[in-house]
Amino acid sequence: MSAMTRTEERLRDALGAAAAQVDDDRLRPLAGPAPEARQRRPGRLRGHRAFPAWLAPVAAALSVLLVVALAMSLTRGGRHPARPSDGYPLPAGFPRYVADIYQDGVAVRSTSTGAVVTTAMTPDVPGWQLFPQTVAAAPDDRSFYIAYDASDETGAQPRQIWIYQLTWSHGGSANSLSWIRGNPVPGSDVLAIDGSMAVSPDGTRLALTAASPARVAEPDSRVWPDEIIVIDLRTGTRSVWRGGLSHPGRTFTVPGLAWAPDSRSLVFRAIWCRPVPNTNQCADAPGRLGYRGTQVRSLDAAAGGGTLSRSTVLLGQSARYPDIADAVPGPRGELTLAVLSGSPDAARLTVERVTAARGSEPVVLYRSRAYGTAGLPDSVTLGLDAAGRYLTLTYPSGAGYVSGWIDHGILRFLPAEHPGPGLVITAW
Amino acid sequence: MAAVVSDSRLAPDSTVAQLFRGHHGELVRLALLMVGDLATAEDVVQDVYASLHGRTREPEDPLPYVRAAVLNGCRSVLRRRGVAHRVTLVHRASQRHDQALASAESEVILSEDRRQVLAALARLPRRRREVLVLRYYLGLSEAEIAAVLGISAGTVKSTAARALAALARDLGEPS
Repeated sequence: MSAMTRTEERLRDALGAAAAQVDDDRLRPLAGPAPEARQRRPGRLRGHRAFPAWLAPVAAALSVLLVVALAMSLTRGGRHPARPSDGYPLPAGFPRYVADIYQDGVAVRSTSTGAVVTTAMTPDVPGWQLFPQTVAAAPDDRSFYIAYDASDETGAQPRQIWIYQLTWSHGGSANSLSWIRGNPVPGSDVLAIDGSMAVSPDGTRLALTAASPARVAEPDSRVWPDEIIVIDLRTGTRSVWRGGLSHPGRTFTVPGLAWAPDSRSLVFRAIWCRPVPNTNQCADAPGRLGYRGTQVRSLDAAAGGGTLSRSTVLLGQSARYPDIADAVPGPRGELTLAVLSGSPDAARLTVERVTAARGSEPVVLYRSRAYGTAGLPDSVTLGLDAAGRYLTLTYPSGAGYVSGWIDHGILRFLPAEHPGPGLVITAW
Repeated sequence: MAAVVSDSRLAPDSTVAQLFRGHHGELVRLALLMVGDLATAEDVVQDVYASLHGRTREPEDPLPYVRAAVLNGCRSVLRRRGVAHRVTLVHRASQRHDQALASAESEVILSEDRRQVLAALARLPRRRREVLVLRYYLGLSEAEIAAVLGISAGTVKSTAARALAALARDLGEPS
C-alpha cells in the first residue's frame, strides 16, 4: 500500500479512537426474535438497554398475554389498534402495489402478499452518484415516480434532483426507468421526508418539496425543504413556489404535501421554528409537545408559481392539535389529520377528519399509542385515495416502518414491513 | 452484492448466525461509526440479527452480506433521523438524537483533531462515508468494499478518492 496522506492518517486515527469505546465484553447479547412477539406486535420500542437473559422468555410470555388482552379489548368494540398485519383480506378495489426504497434501489410489492413484484436498481450514470430519495405513485396503478439525489462526482455542478418513471411489464420480470420531462430539478438531498412528492390524481402533474438553491448553498449541511415545485409531466414545465412565509429568526420548512382530489389544489404543512443556538430545538413552548408553529395550508397549483404566501390557511396548531404530523385533503373539502399528543415518551397518535362546516365536530377515525414516533413526527404518513375510500397510515416500528389501512377504527396492516419512509401506495 | 443460493431459513446455528456472533463487536463498531451512538448501534445489529433469523437465506459470501445488512440498518436509522433533524425538534427524544449525532465523540474522550475529522466525515454524502469507514476502519480492499456495497470496484476507487479529497478540503489540508 502506498504511503498514507495526512488526511488518511487522521481519518484512521479518529475512526479507531471512536470505535475503541466498544467493549466486546459489555455488549448486549444477541437474541433471536420471540416468534409470538414478532408476529403479533407491530413495533418494538427502541433505545432499550442491556437486559438479563431470563427476561427474554418472560417478555415473550408477557407479549402473549398482551396480545390476548388486546384481542379481548377489540372484541369488546374498543378502538385500540395494534392488530397484526396478516390474515385480513384487502377490500375490493384496494391498490395493488406499494413501493419502498431499499438500500440503493426501489422495490415494488404486492399489497395483498407483500411479495416483491419488481425492483429497480439505481441508474448507473457515469460521473454522477444517484441515491433514491422518495417515491410517488401514479394513478394508473402500474407506475411510480422515483426522485434521486444526483451528485456530480467532480463537484463542479450543484446537487440536483433527477426524477424517473418506473413502469413494469410481464408480471414484473421486466421494468424500465424513464427520464421525465422537467429534469433535472435544482435541489438537494432532503427529499427523504414522507409525503414530499405526489402525483396529481389526474396524473398530469408531479409536486415535490425541495430545498431552494439558496438554502442548499448554505454551509450548514442540515438543509431542509422550503419550496414547492410542480412539474407538468406532459410538457416538463416547472412552477416554483418559494418564499413569502419566512419570519426573521425562524426556520421555515415544508415537510409534506398532498394533492386535493380536484388535481388543482395542493395541501401542505408549513412549520416555523425559532432554533436554540447550537441545538436542534425550538425555543417556542419549551417542555410541551406543541413545540413548533405549524399550519396546514392550501395552494392553487395551477397558478403557475409565485410565493408561498399566496396559499391560504386551512388549520393551525392549537391545543387540540398540538403536533400535526400529516394532513391530507378529502373529496368533500374535508381534511384528515394525523395528530401526535401527550408526552414525548408516551405519545399518542390520533387520526381524525375535520370539515370546514360551522358547528361540525371532528370525527376520530383511529387512535393508538405512537410507537416509535418520539422525535420523529414527520415519519407518520397518511394516504387517501381521490374518492376518499381508503385511508392508509404509515409509521415507524422497530427498525423499519409498517403500513396499513384504517378500517372502522382498526388499523389493518399490510403484509410487509419496509426499511424506511418512502412507501407509497399506487392509484392514490 | 452477495447472491442468495440456499432456500433454507436461517437457523441459529447457521453460518450467518455463527458469523454474526463471531463478528458481533466488529459489526457494532461499524454501526457505531455510521450512526454515532452505541445504544443505537447495538439496536441496529440486534435488529439485523433478528431479521436474518426469519427472512434471510444462506448467502454465497456471508461476511459481506452481513456487513451490508448492518449498513442497511444504519441507513434506515439515519434516514429517520434526517427527517427529525431537518425540522428541528424539542423532544427529549430529539435531545437524545442530538447527543447521538454529536457522534462517537460524545461518549469517548477525543482530541479536538479527532472531533474535527469525525465531523467532516459526517458531512460527506452517505456512500462516501460508508466507503471511507469500510476502508479506513475495517481495512477492506476495494473488492471487498464493492461486495459489501453492491457497486463496482472502480466506483469504490473513485468514490474513495473523491471522498478523501472532500475530506481534505473540509479539513483545510492539501488533497
